Amino acid sequence: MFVSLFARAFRMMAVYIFGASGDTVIEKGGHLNMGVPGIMFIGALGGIIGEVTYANNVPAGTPLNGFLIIFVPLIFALIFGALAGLLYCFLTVTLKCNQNVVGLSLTTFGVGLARFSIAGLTGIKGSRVSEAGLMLQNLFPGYKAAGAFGEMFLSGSFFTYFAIILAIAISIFMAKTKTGLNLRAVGENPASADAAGINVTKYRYLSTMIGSGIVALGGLTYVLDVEMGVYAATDIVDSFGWLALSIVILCAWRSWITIPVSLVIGMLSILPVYLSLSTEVAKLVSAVPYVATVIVLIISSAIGSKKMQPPAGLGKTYFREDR
Amino acid sequence: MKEAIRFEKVTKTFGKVVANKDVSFSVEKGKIYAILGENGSGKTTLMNVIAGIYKQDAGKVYINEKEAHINSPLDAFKYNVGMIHQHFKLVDVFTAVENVAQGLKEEDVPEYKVLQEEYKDIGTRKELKKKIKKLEKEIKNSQLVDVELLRNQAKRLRDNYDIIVSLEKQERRARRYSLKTIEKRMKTITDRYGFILDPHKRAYDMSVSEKQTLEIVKALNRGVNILILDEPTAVLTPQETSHLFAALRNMKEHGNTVIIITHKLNEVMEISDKVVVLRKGEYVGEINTRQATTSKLTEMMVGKKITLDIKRSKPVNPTDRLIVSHLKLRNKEGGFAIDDVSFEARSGEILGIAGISGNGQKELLESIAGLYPINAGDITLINPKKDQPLTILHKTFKEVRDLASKGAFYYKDGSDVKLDGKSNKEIAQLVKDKKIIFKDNEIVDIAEKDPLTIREAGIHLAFVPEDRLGMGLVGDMDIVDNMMLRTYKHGKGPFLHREKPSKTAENIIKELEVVTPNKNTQVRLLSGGNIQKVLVGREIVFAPKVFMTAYPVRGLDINSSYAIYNLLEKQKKEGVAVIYVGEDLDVLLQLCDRILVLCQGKVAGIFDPKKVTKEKLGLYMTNGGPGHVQKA
Repeated sequence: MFVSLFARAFRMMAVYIFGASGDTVIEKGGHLNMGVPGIMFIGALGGIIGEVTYANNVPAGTPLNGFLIIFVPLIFALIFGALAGLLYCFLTVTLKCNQNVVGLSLTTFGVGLARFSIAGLTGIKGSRVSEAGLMLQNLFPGYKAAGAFGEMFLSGSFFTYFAIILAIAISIFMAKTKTGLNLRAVGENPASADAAGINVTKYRYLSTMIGSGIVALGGLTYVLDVEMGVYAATDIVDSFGWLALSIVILCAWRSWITIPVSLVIGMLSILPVYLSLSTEVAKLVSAVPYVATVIVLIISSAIGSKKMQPPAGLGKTYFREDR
Repeated sequence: MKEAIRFEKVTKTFGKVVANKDVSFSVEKGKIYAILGENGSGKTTLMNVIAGIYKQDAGKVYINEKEAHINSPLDAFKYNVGMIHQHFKLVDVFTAVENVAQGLKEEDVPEYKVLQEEYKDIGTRKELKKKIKKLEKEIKNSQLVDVELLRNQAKRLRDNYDIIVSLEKQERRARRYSLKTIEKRMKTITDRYGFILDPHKRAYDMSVSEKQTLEIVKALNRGVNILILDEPTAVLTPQETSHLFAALRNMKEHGNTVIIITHKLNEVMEISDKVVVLRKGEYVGEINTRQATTSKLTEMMVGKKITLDIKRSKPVNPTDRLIVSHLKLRNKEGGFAIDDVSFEARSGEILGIAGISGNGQKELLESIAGLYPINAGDITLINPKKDQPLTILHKTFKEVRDLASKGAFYYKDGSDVKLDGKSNKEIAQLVKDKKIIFKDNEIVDIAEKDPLTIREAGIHLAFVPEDRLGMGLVGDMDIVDNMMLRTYKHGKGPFLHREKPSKTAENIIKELEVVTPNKNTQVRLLSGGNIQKVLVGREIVFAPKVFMTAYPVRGLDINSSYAIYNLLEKQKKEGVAVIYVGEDLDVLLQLCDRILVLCQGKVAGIFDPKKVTKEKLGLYMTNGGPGHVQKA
């Protein structure tokens, strides 16, 4: 039973990894983006539009292309997410609005827009999307040959492995590259970065747009991979966005830690089904990640380690001539 | 004479406030300049214009005799100008190397700049390739021209091409992002000028002086040869200051230009070659330091002759007001911030507290104000209430009854107050009519009280931290609302009463000459000195019994400083017990009636300023005096 629980969690975790590592990129640049749930939902919408666009334009009877069925929705979700990030940046960087207010409105807006549009898309007849959803299932079709190991670690989809690689890549980028160092400087102390000649506006725009694109992939993964393209199940995408926000804190703004944490949270979210718990208990179990976040916050503040603190400039709008 | 910088009619305004008006002067290369001026005279703003923080509204700036267009700090680096701001621009969680590395671009490798310059004549790789190809074609096609000559030409070009390619390879290696190369470069800089800096220390672990060094190294690493420092010594100890000055002189020896923004005259005299004076945003004049005297400079700065004496009056009838006995306070590390400290502050006296900053001064004052938990010991206030009516503010009815049963009060006719059988309402009425009068001075045990009660009992604290706004004032609120932070509980009903605080604000602005557009200006928009005047003024207005102030003149110019000293002197004359924590020993010796020296949380000694020298105080400050003998 553990093997199949693990396998499902392994598939589920990509949603959290995309959300949390994308938000890490955003927050490292100093943006406290409460719009993550909305962006995730917008990403789901983008992915569905992309898939519908591709799958329904392939004549009936011709098999779908395995590469395009992943690539087209991916690009759509990335673009939709980046556009949402662009809107956020335009309001917070260019117009210098309050980040929390903008973020929360972006969530409200994104969730509403996506729900409305997805409901409209469900009506399209003769859709081949569920067929596409099935195609996405396994990256390594022969995983069963590897026994329990295969079931646990090789049964993921393209998105699962992409998420893992991306999370590690982001960690390396932050710690080892020049651009990563500059981005961290922007998030920690924009005045210092500015004085060092770093274009704060550019860095904040780019990091937030790229991060939002990654967050959007989380929504896409949930709809097309975990739920196999069943739109009716999309109603709760935003809840993963909130979880992603708390995972970022839980992982102390380190992207690679989101991988194990996401796996555990994925397990927790599926556990009630496996233990056939009652609805009430299931709800309690689903609160565990949030409780864990609170505990981590308490521990990190008790230790007082400066390395575990959020970026010092998080949530602050930067204006050079401000006195 | 070579010019490093020339200002030509530079004007900069912020809304209606004119920070600089038609400023023109030039700065010689390889000299140390001091820009002198009072608070709000536009020194920092002017320098921020060349540092790329502000853009001038009108006028031109020339750097190395070429007109400079500086729109950002990055542009400033292009002109080799770097500025060390008063508030350091460092990333706290970064190590020194990382702080230096942030924002570094490939072109910023100084060696690369030099190489580029040296081989400019050869041409770029692309050009060379084109030329070689053209020549080869010509060689192929030509039958008439001397082929040998062309071949030689081609060979030379190919050699040059090889040089360029190998150079580019080297450069690429040098440019490669590596904290190690940056660390190496940092080491050359620190060695050359005699700085001490641990490249792997994180900024949050650094002392102020280390942070400053890091800022300077950061700028020098960018190839800066015109260095501007904004009040660099404001937060340094004397030793750190002399170390900094030595390094600056070293920089001058190496041909760099240094500009120091300051208002400390003795430092101007010590370090600078030339002084430029600004007043109210305008250029007043410049003078060779060798020909300058302090009084001459002051006159230029202030615009009139002022006397810099503190008239210390003799304490009138001093009686004990605040008694601290065997006080112990724990610090964050688990040791003692204040260890067995006893002293008394007397009415009509200024008690100075001297000590190197961080020796428990802050904790001591905060514990008296009720803001810091007390580990052991007593703090007692003797409230001069004799023959004064009782006010019930922050006293429970139970406390009043207890005091009455002990016979602490009398009525106007001389009979004892008995409150047995009286309801709370009746007592309240009696208090309101001021019928209950104290027989003797009230003794208040401060150690058990909360900050609000302590304030109401008349102990006021005005603490000026390093960032000025950190304690006591809310930057985003206006002057009136900041007054209300002390009176918001007064008045009836759910609505705020703004009339009184508004009047208080007006009084403070008028009496202390606070420069502000109006009383409804946000405090953070005022200059540092004016912020401090508002802070100190607010605490004095409410007629304290004990007035404690720490570093009230931190970062202030001479005029404002003396305004504050005179305020303290005035408080003393009115019978207030003043406790003054200061940094400048000269001032402490002139201003105070007694000086307590704190060293590592212990009282190193209490001295009469008329009988003690600065050197002796310094000795007690640094090592607790000879043999750690405690004097009373």
